[in-house]
Amino acid sequence: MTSPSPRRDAFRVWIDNQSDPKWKLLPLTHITKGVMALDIINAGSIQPTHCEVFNEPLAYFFYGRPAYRVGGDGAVKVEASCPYCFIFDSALISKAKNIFAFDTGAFEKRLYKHHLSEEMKTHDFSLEVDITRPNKIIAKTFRSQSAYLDGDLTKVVSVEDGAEPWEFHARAYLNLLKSQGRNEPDDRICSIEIVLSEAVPLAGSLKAVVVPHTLWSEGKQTPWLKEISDKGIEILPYLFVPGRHPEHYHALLELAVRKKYEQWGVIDEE
Amino acid sequence: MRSKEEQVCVVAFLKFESFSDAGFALPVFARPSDPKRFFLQRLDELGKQIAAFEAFDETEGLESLPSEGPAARIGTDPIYVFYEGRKYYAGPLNSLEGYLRDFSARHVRKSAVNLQISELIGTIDEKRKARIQMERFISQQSGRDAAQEFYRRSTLHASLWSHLLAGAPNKQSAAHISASQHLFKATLSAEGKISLDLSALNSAHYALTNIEEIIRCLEMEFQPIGATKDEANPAIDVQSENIDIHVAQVLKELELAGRQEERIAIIFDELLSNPLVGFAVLQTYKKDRGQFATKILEELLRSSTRVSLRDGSHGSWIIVQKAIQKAMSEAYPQGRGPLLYFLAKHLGRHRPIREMILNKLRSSRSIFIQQYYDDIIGFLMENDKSAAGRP
Repeated sequence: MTSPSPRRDAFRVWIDNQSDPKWKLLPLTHITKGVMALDIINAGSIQPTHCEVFNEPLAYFFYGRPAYRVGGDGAVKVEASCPYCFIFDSALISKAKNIFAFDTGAFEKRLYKHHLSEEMKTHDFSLEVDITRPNKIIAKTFRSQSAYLDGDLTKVVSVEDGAEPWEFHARAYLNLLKSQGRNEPDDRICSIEIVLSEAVPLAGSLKAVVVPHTLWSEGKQTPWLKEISDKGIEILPYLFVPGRHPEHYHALLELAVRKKYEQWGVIDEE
Repeated sequence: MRSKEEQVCVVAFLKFESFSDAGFALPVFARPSDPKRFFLQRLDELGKQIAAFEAFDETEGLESLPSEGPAARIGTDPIYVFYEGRKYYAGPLNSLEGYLRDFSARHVRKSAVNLQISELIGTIDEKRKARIQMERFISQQSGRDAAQEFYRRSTLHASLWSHLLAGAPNKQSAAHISASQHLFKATLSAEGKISLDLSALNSAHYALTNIEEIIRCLEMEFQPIGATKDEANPAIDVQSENIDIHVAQVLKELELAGRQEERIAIIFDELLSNPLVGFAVLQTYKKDRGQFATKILEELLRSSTRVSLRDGSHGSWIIVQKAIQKAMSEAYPQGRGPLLYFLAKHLGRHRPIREMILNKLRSSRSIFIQQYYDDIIGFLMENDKSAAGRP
């Protein structure tokens, strides 16, 4: 019989040693495939779905970064099911049930196993529901929201400068961020995850949706996009040309999100 | 499915937008012996050929073809499916080109699909027009900011990515480019000037091109309509009657050249210096009196169907570099010296070719190459004094 994991605060203590940079909170993103995007818009909300990691219905978002990969690792299907990104007002974070330093789905798939020891558990890396911690951890690691949004690992503080040898979780986390080989985990390692256990209505909190350009053109305009556009939600198209590498669509989507943040003035550089 | 020999056929397709009446769709493949087990093609890092077929379990929304569609296997060109109403067209891009052009001509207001078609098969001018048409539409629907974002970021970035991939010397570099593309930055100024930040890449990742060349191509693609003259390469604007005269001159030169290695070097040079003339020569000449040169001509003709020479010098660079690699590997040992000699003579002024020749000279101890060493260096020195001290 295994005993329950003890509560481990070391990672949160390490984060709280960083003073609050007082940056504005970043918007939250939710990425999904076209079919699911239609479901969300038809339902008028993002509904929690059963999560195998935590064994309860949950809805997942990322802090600022549009990090989730549609189709997981089988992204070959992306051409038929392009990524769509819902961008929500940052105030939504106050409803979080939990916040994690990275994508817990990737953690569960053991994509981080080379850097995190077997004994380290998902909850060890929880930021809990302290909404100052996402910006603190960004300030502590990437040093700017801009570098965090770009996933620019060259800007990440060195392991030696960032944490003491006895700060095991912090060191493991920094090692994870610094891992850049071809077989290393992708940018989900540096994407702060926001977990909600309740349905998230689009009305009042959805600010924009990023979609393939083919859905936003003359003739038969996508009716469900037109509907939300009429309610003041911005539709941001990205170029979708068949036959491109799946990462390509994601990069174009990221560009659209990044530019919108700049226009909204939500990125603090210092 | 990873066997290179095994052939699969298109048996169905999946529309990207179920409510749309025309557009591209995802081709779904199956083995003729097992038509219920579906596969999707996965392209290689360069996006040019099929690298693998991966199992595809979804059946919802699949539209079956009434009869078996075109066949494909690993290493062949990717298959595209385009549907219009109840009709569908499936095949490699070059086999669909005529139909896609016809569709664009009949549906000028379908700006989103026309943009896709132009991005895949269009000339620089067609791409530019399609992008601007889409930008105008987005401006009407989502405002000027969204439109500029689409034009100045999304399409610019997509084009930059294509140029970088075309310049990747191998699959590893292409994979690195794909993985790092969120760190590239391309900016288009109001005056149509492009600036790039490729600090996330090493120039070796795009060794077959260079930043100046990429900027030149992007500025051609993104300059305002009406300002389409290619100032850096005036030959692209040569009028058709001038092209005919020039082609005749090149054909005469080919007739007089005694060695087949020189004849292919002359054609390479035309393709790089005057893509329109070079392409016209290629179409006219087709077969050389030498076996080796004919083989290289066939390679040039084959790859010219994949990369549009109408895209100017960038497309021809890709074709010529591939053909030179093929020529070096196909030439008999005693033919490699003359080949390098004539490449240096006719192409020495092109920096990447000059560097390639120098690399070959450095790495080879072949007596068939060394006997041409001084002459080759002489040609290269004429074009670049810095080449003198290097080998």
